[in-house]
Amino acid sequence: MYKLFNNKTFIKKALNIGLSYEIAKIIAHWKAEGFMKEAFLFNIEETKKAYNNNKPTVWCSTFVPSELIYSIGGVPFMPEVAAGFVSKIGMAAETLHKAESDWFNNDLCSIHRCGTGLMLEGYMPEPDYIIASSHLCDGAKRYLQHISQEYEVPFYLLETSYYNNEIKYLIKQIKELIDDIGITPNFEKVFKRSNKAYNYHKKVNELRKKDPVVFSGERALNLVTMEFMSFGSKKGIKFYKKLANTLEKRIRNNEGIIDQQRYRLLWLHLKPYYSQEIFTTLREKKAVIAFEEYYQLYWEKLNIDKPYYSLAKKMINHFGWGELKEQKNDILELINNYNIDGVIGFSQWGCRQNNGRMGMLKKELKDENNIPFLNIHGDLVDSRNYQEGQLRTRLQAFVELIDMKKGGK
Amino acid sequence: MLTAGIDVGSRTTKVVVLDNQKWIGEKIQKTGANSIKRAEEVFDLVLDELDLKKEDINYIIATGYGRVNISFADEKVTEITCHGLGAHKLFPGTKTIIDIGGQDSKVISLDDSGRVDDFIMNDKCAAGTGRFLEVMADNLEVPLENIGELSLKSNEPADISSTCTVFAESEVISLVAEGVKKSKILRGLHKAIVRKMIGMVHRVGLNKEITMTGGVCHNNGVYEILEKELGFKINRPSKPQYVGAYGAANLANIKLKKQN
Amino acid sequence: MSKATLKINCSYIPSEIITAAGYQLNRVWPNNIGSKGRDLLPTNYCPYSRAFLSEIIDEKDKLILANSCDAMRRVYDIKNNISYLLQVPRKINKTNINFYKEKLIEIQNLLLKNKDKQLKNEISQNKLLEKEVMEFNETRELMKKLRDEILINDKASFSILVNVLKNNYYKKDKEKIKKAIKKIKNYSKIKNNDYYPKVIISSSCLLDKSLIKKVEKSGMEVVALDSCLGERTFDFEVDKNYDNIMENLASSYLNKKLCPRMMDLNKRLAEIKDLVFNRNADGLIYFIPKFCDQSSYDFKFIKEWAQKNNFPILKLEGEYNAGQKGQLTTRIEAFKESLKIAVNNEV
Repeated sequence: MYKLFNNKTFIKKALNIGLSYEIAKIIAHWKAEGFMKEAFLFNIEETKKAYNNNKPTVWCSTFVPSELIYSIGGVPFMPEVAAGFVSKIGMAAETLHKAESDWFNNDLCSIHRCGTGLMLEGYMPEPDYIIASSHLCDGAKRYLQHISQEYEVPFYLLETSYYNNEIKYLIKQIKELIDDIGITPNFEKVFKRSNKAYNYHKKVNELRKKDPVVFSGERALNLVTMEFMSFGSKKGIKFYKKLANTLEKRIRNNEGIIDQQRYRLLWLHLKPYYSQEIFTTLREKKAVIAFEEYYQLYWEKLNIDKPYYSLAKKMINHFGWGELKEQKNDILELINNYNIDGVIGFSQWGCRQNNGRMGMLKKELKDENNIPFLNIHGDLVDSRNYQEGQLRTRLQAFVELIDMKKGGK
Repeated sequence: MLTAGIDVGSRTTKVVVLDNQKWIGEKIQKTGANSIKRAEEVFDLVLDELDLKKEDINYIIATGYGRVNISFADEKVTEITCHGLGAHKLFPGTKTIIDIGGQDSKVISLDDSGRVDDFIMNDKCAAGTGRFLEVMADNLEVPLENIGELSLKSNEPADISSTCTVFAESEVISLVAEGVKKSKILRGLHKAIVRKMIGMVHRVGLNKEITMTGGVCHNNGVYEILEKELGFKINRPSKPQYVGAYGAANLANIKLKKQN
Repeated sequence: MSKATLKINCSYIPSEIITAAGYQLNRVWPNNIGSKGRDLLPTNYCPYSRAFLSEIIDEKDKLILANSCDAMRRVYDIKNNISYLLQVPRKINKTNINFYKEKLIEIQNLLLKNKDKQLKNEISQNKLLEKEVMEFNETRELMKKLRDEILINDKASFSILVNVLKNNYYKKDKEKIKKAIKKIKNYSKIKNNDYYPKVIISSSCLLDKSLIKKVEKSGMEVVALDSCLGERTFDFEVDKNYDNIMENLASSYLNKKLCPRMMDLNKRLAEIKDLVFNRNADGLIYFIPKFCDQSSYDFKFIKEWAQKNNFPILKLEGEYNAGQKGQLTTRIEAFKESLKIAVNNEV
């Protein structure tokens, strides 16, 4: 069985036949339950659709609203999400190696290199076209453009303006994009679904303000694909509904993630997809990630009467876009609402937009607002760069610092 | 109340024993390959000298790189917290701690109450650690214990621009071939390590008083150049390698008091 | 009355708008990463952004930054009191030119906010802009002449172009540029029988002259400087049709020789091919400032073309004073040797 999974040809064939997905679904039904099952089923179904040719497979950068793709009848496929998955199953090193041999600089974000490596190895479903937004980073739009050249498919760039009052340009670009693709969008159905999921997500976010923490940042970030891809889909609604119900039940029964929980932390950026000891280390010290910036509901429900405006607004409003002082204010609000004792910012190797903000955020949060802040360096996808002992020491020292600050122990 | 702090570093293992807050004994040995064994040995050695048994020690805290394996410790605490407390106890006005060990270095800032406020660690790269100086001393064929003094004999440092130990080594070899004096090269190397530390200090914030800890304290060259570059007097403990273990033993004391 | 200085970070910020509002313009070209503000950006970050930040962090002069890349965007976030962040589109089309034009108008309005009424009057503003366009067009023409003069004279180094660009271009100091041209014309033209391979130096932002000097010292002739610290800053002209001067500025600036951060790949490749052909280049040296994503991707793209067409291309990475680092020297010399062999074989 292991040999089979290591065989590239086998994997490529398996990805392209419907049977593999049916088997995967059966396993999901059998082994998983509740919101986890919905998440698995969603991912299996979307992957299956991406590989077969019934609907256009639209590769997109992570922050292109999934509602846009669903509205034009496409199947969103995010290579960055694939990179995360591949890292989880321990295959990232090979794909990174492949990208590096193709003149991809090692300094570049490993997520983009991994996505490219996967493409070069022939694992990815062929795109019909590629859409990138200019937010949040340079790398994402550049590597996707490069890939569009490899596949010789149209590449669309949506330049996300920085300020809300510039929204008409983004609206124009979205309209032009849809015109060019030539499909009449079905916003109504998709927006309805997105808004339904939105309601449940809002509930989830409210529930997570309570104590004890019943849904950790670690688990949430494992499921972050749902944030990126499921809004506008039917399964997205199911997922958030079940999640909300489960959390409600857990809170009722006081089922915290850890006993004697002491500290609630906020996590910035994403977390490494491969298996690591970051969160167990924190739990050993009775600290848990109570919330993460990637779960913020940063947009308003989509208005079917103003579809282009709604989509553009969702893009411009992204919490990671716009001036840093706004981000800082958002983070302070999260700290307040979620009763946060300390912030951990993850600096992904090669992520310029994120890493460049850490110095400033640390200054603002720690020096000016007295909130303990730890910046840890690592790699989201490349486990070769994971140094456990060093990370553990930093995490433990950070919780000890909070301990001392709160006059504890 | 007897407490002990055991600092299992990647190079050396240190133990400090306190009687209430009084420093009554210490021991240092090379860690070697078997850190658990060494920790036990060093602990036994110091107990022997003090004519004590393990059971006499009321609370033991293990710190340092190898702390996780010390099963006989009552608690494991990171070297950040322990160095912070140790330096604070030795020099109560300390706000910035510069620790340069054999294989890692760190800068810790303390708040007004002597608690750790922020820290930055360099444990990924030999540059900025004692290892850097060892490699260079070897290259220049100068005994390690003499490089500090020799570096101070030159007023002008040779320009060593590489941040990487391996590349700096190449630079040194070229300089030697060019006939540059050893003292000048050493001055340049000491300046390089100081530069690295200063980069770290600025990330955490420079506030006086500054206390230096770790084995490289013994190197007068690093100490004096660091003082000069920072523009502040730097406290230097008489037993700089024990600060972590001392802090751990003190923390053990505090924990005991809270328990009672 | 001496003019106030306004500092910028990017060649996509139209000089004319700034000088028309009465400012002395200065593009910041640091010599190295200073010590100020070092804790605010990571060490593994673009050297230009770090050097730029340390130079301007305590700056009281007005600053306008372009969002040339993520790193520069963070510099904007970190430094307080930057007057404006200019969002430069990455693809050239009508919608984007319009957007860019609107942003330029915003800059103009911002700069004129506290100026006296006469300056603010639209007609006189347009007249001033026209004058500045003319002045800068003339200055650009002179810079192109200087470049051409350097090209035909074996003894003239491209670092002269860099010096003049830094010191005289933004001040529109035409006299000094003419002097530099004259000086080169007076260089003796002793024909050297050795063949010096001709190379283009390409980069997003060449940090300093050290690489140019190194390449020339190693026995190659630099025939193009494809960088903003180089020809891209001046190798164009603003359309002189004055019906809508802002439109012209927007269109001309966006359409100038593309910087690696732009995403019109076909145009970029066509421009590189033109350079190779027109300057008779034997090879191209691509300099990637460490951690610069824009040039990493740009290089990869150009490399693919170069490989398909057997055109020699060398990738170098570095920080400030890269040309003085031993590792680069070896690569440059090896490149030169391979070019010489190739040229000799052809001959």
